[in-house]
Amino acid sequence: MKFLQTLGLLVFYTLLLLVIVTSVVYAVFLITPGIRVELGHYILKYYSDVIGISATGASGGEQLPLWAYWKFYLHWFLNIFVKGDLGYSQFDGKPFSALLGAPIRTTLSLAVVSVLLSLFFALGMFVLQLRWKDNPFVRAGIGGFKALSGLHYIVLSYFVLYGLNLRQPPHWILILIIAVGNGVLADTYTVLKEDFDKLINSPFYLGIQTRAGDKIFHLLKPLSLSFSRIMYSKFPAVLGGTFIVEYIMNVHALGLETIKAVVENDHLKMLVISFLITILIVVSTVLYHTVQKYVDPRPVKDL
Amino acid sequence: MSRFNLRKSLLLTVLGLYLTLAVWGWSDHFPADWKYVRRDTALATFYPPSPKHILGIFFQQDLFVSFVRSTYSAFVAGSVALVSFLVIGILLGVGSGINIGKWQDVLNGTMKILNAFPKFIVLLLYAGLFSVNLIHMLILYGIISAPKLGELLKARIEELKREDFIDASIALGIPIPQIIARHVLWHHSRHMILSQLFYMFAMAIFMEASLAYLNLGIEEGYQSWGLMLNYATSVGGLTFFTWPWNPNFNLPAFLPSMGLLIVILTLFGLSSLWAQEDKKRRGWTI
Repeated sequence: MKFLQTLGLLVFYTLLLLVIVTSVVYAVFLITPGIRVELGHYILKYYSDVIGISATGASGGEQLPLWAYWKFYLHWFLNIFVKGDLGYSQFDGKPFSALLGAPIRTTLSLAVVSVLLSLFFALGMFVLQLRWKDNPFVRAGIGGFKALSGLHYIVLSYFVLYGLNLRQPPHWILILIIAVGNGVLADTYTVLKEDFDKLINSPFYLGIQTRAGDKIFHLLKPLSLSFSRIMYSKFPAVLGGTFIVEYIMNVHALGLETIKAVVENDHLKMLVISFLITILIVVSTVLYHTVQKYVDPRPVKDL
Repeated sequence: MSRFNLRKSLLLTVLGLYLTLAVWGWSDHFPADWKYVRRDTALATFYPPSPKHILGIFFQQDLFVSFVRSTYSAFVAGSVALVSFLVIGILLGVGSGINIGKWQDVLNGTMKILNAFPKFIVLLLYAGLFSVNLIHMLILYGIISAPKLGELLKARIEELKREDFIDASIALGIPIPQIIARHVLWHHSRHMILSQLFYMFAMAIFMEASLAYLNLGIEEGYQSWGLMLNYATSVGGLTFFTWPWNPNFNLPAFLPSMGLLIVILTLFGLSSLWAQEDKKRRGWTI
């Protein structure tokens, strides 16, 4: 019963968030005169029966009444849940449902695997640093990885495109670029080290040392909490990085579609992408809290 | 000289060099020969170095002049993002850390929501919605990145609340804003704030390069390392994989790449140094 109650609340809040995000974006469209006229043309072309105004009845540059825009918005929003229909592109008239297939799958797989890989690399560097702190090779290796991480995605992609001469590189290369470049690896390593330093300077660790407890066993839980926190906090940044790399490498995925939507002034596509991104954020947040609750079931109260 | 101080001096020297280049870019004071490029030079062709143009000509611009001007653009980008990051971050951190009733919950919620959204995607959508210039986007970038500083400050305030000297200050009648400004922010958090500022500066430079590469929010005549990379990577026949003195060496891409790399690593290094300093002051084993 409690599970159903929680699920119900979750669905309610997700819907509320979706309504807030999409209606704010839509309201911005409507307050911009140029976009409003373009949107009016689009509504008349595809949804004139929904708003009850015929395309022939409205003159070219004239704006539709405000209620017609919001009626269309309501229809669009409900249609997503009732028919799974996201609407059509303002630019080329193609249905947005295509975004739900390969594009979103590709972006998600790139982002999630990159976060995991970045954490894996950072963990490896951290263990090496912990074990052989004064070894010059280890220091140089870690320094080298950090330097590599300081390279912009554009530069790393350029190496792949023109250096390795791979015009359509396999996904593992893209994942490597996203996991390492733009400071992602360096920051993951720093956060991981920060969390570890905090842990070994805590009274909890002093307690373990005092009673000669098994350090690895006792540190496993707080460290797994730290891993989940790092993954959750790095996910939005990596998702943004995925968008840049997809654009540079011309990978047909959500990133390329978003940048194309901005360049082509496809406002409806931007609305759909805001909708999809909000869902991704909600899913990642729910997953993070579920993992946290599972690993650390103590009630946490925000101070 | 200890290794720590040596590292610090080296990083500060590089930062000083970068700032000098930025000031030079701002003053736009170059010999007339360097600035003048004949209009009949081909647009997408790299002209190798010559006595008048020490690094060559690319896209009808002296490459060295473009590089120095772009240094200034990167500096402006970092600075504008930094101001909004610092102001909003401190407001969020202090507001959510001290007891101000319902506002505390509102600020905590704001931080959580802002933290969850991918910043680059928010900027893309913002550019699509408002067709704004790059500076506005970077101010927004500073604002949406501010929760990171806010959360760190909130944690620091929570930690310091339990300290006796805070109780003593309150008992002595020192006003709360003064306790926060002097004792919490200045004496106990300035190294941590400085570390975050350097990190944010680096990330803002990355973001400016990305947005300029995508041609978003820039006006004609704008110079940026990202834009230089865009031009350099769109021209065929040049490569990184040859000797630098070879005429086919992609100097137009190499220069901004190295500029970005050196500045970013310097800023990351400084951020890490100040984070270490903060830990030392707190008596941590590092």
